[in-house]
Amino acid sequence: MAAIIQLNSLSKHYKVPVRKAGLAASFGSLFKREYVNVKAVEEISFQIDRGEVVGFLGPNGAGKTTTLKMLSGLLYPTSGNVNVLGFEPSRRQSEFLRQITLVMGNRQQLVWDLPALDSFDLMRSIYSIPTAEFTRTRDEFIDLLELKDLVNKPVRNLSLGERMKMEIAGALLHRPKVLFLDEPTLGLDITMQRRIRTFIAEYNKRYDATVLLTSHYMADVEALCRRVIVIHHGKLLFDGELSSLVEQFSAFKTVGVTLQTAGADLQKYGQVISQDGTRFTLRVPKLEIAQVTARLLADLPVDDLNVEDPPIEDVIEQVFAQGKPEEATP
Amino acid sequence: MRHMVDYYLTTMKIAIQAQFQYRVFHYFYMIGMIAEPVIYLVVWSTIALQQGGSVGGYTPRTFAAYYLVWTLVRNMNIVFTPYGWENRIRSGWFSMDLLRPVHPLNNDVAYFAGMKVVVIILWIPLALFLSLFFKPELNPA
Repeated sequence: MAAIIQLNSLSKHYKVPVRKAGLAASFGSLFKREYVNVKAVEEISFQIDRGEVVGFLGPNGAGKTTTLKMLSGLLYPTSGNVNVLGFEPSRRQSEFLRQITLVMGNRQQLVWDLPALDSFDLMRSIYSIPTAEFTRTRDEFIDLLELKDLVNKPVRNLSLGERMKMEIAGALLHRPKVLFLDEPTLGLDITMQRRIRTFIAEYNKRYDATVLLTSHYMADVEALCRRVIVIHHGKLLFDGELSSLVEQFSAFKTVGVTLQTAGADLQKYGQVISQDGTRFTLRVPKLEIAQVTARLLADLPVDDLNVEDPPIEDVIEQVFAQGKPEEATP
Repeated sequence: MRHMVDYYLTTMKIAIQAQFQYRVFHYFYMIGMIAEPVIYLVVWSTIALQQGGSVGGYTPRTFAAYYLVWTLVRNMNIVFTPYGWENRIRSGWFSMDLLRPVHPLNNDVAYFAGMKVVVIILWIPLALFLSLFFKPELNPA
């Protein structure tokens, strides 16, 4: 499969002015300024093939948005190479910009005072989309995102979720081949998040688009991405399938057990995370899972027992907290 | 070329529509538009009348013509582009303009071209009112 996005030892360093608080320091900074060098992205390399949907994960300040900005041509890399669709993004060639989109949850492209339909028409003229194709795509998106009752309202009168759906529709009218989505579900309720996720999945399927998605909502990542890339402090921590992330970074599994009677002490089988009547949830080292479940079944009057991977949020939290695989210490 | 003409016309249309969204703003804008030339006109006309009917060759009616044209020219020249650019860069909104396959300058030129259509529309009734009241005499030659 052809690589659509290629990064090779990509770095971005910022020179950031710093000073103490107060008027004297402010005055002093007029004459002598101090700077620190922030390594926002440090030698990251990966490649993404056509049609892939990849989750780009990291805590706040990890370097996700900086990377997306370099990929979309908004920032020049300090060093390294980046190639998207055969273009060098920082040259911002028109042919490149016509084939990508960057949606940022906290930025909008639509005209605030006008109904979104007018902004959609502006998009048509910006990307010189043939009228028939534009009308077909616009109506298709209006259907998929259920926007029919909203497109005639001024954008400023829409709720956050409605506006986000509209933003996404507007950003994809030119049918970009590469989508950079920076927290597209930021601040939205569960229904809206689900609607946007479904739309992104549908768009990816219909147009074989390549998607790089950042989100702090693991439900987005689980629903859309088989592959995830994790960065922290600007460095690549993990690049692989989501299931491997859990495998690699979580040394524990969660055991749910329901007993016929209450009052049993399950501490000796593993760490009791929660208890609700006769229902217990235990955290058990992965290597001991077979032995522990066998003992539970043999020792206790078990009604129900299930073994699960820990929630992805917990795994990601561990990855961010440690930056290296967790040690299984009982 | 056809693409750019379409882009300019669409952006102008957007600018006109955006301007029409706020009626009260335009009432105040029109007040501001007329207040300044009326003050100048009254002052200079008074001086002209006290000096026998003209100042430096300008009569109250030629002053009226001058300020009528001045009002249009002055309002056509008002742009917020330098401040707009600065604010867009500082706030990060400029990023969205840079992602489009059209140079951001085109957006400003087209948008202001549309806005100025609205300025002319607002100026016409004011010009008619000033003409009726001050009876301008325009001699471009």
